Amino acid sequence: MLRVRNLEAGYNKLRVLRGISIHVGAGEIVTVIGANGAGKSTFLNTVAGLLQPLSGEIEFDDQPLGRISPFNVVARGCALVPEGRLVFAPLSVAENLTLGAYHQYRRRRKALAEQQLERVYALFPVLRERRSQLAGTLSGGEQQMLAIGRALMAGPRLLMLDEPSMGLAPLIVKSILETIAGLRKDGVTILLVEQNSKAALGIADRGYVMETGSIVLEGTAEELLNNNEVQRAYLGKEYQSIAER
Amino acid sequence: MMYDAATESLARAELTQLQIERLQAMLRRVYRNVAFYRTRFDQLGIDVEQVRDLEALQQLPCTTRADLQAAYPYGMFGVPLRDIVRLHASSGTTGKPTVVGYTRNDLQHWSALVARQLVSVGVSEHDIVQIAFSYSLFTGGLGFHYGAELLGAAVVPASSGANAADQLAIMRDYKTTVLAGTPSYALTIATALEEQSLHPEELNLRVGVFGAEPWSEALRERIETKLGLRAYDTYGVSEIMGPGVAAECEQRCGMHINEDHFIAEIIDPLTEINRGTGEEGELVFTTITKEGFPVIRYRTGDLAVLLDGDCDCGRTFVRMGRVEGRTDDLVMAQGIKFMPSQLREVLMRQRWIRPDTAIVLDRKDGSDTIEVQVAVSEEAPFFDEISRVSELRAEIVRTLRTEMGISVKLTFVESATLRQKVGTKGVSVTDHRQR
Repeated sequence: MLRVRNLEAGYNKLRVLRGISIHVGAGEIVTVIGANGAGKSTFLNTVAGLLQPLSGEIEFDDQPLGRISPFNVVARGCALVPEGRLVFAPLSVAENLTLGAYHQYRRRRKALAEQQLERVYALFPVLRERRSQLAGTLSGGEQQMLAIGRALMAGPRLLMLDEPSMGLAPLIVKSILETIAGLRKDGVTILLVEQNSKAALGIADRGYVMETGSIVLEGTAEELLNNNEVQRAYLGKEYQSIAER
Repeated sequence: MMYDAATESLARAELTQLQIERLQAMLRRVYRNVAFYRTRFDQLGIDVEQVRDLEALQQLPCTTRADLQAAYPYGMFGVPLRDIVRLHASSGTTGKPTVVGYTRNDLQHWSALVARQLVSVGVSEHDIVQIAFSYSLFTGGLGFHYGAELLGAAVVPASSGANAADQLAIMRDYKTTVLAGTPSYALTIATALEEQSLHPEELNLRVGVFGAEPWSEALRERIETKLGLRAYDTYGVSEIMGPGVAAECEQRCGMHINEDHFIAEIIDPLTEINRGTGEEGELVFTTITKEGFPVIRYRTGDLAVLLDGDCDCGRTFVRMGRVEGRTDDLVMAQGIKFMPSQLREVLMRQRWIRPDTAIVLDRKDGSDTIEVQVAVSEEAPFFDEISRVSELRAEIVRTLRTEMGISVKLTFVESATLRQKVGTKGVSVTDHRQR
């Protein structure tokens, strides 16, 4: 579904991504894990069209995706849940969600957008309860639900999530990730970028390990969890605890 | 039947994407973790980030057996030793052996790849698999063992130490359905079967999975008739993985290379320039998932072709032909270049000759002499008839002259002596011409 080859991107002269090759098959849950500053967000932002690639190819459903506007990336079926939620704080929950389906309204597909809204409310009943509340007054977990709901309003086939677990209590993280995993049965493919490697690998089929702008490991989630280097670097296991396992 | 149908029948574009992803990640890991490659790439000014497609791999230097030997024992490992859970060593025809290490993930991949090739020849969890490869530092025994076990078959770790009669007794009593071993050992078992006047139908054998030494279609037929099974060729290299690198499917039209784990190339052994599909050359492998012992463009020394076209079995992985010989034991004598295996192939067509062959080269009065030592099969009806034996000798000498252009002195020796001399390789070359 998504195929990225030798992607390079960055900010001005700073080259952050140094030739990333990744693919996500339809129906898969794929995670990209890595430390802070590895380039994970830069990667998602580039796929989403927020950043222009310096070189390389991005294909979505066998069509090139590079150098088209973020708006059109969404219209093609590829939505981003940005890092830090970035909900529109002064707007209500319902307004935030409506904005997620902006391209549907522009194309006068109001019915479709309303259908989608019902699905989002079904997925996150708390958003329905608080639909007139201002987004800025929601708790962190609720804001994350809103951010995911807003992205789902676009009816994406590929949902990209940037650190959905950030700043959330472990129990909330668990519930959010379970919801994300559940989206698969609605036909949504997931590309999940996470620093919380253990949680991400817990729901993913496959994963990539990103280090300073390069992919250094690819494998099934099980293989990555078994890899001692991953355990040491990202799962917080010390040599001793690995040996004592 | 496929063990991992989604992967084994992956469309070429998707397979290429997977290969490039794994190759790039592997190159970055290897550059960081293996001093040998880091030093070499730095010296040659190679930036691994510049490998953007599979063709770019061809620009990287090859790794030779000598490189691996120089790094003996652990110099080529891609992870710290504490992450290694298994060590094997390659037999090493010359010089030091090569020690190869496997991480837990490597072992899982390895088992899955062997399971894949067993399923591809119709082996299932209902089978009783007798493994007559040596259980040792050699990868054959444990490699097949883990694969068959993962598949859920009943595994009989008979190893190759037992004498043929004992092996046969196990086979009969345990109702073995699948035999894994070297083709020459299979032939030895077949001979024991005849010695005990047993009929193959008294056994339950159905499938034979053979490898670890070069063999021929003629030998395949002999084994199939004598043991009453369907024989399949497999290909493995310890430095790459062991068994599980490539294997025939039921179509028997070449061995599918597990391309999701290994990238295969064919090169000219002299110039290292890549050759196209259908052209014979040296097989070169790059491991793209190995953690413990990753190698970049390892020269196997095996001569083979990569085959064009699709296989009827539906697998999309490229196939390789039989290993036609080695790059390193090409014999040049009497102005003729030949592979010992070629000579062996001619000999193996002779019904009453055992497949082991020792070749002794010498120089007499300025011209090369080629002595070929073989053993007459004990089952030959004329085993002690001198006149018939010399008839056979004349016939073989004549065949070798017409087919290979060499004139040889044929000597019949004791089968046991010969076996000792040629070892498991089945053929040995001794060259006295230097002195």
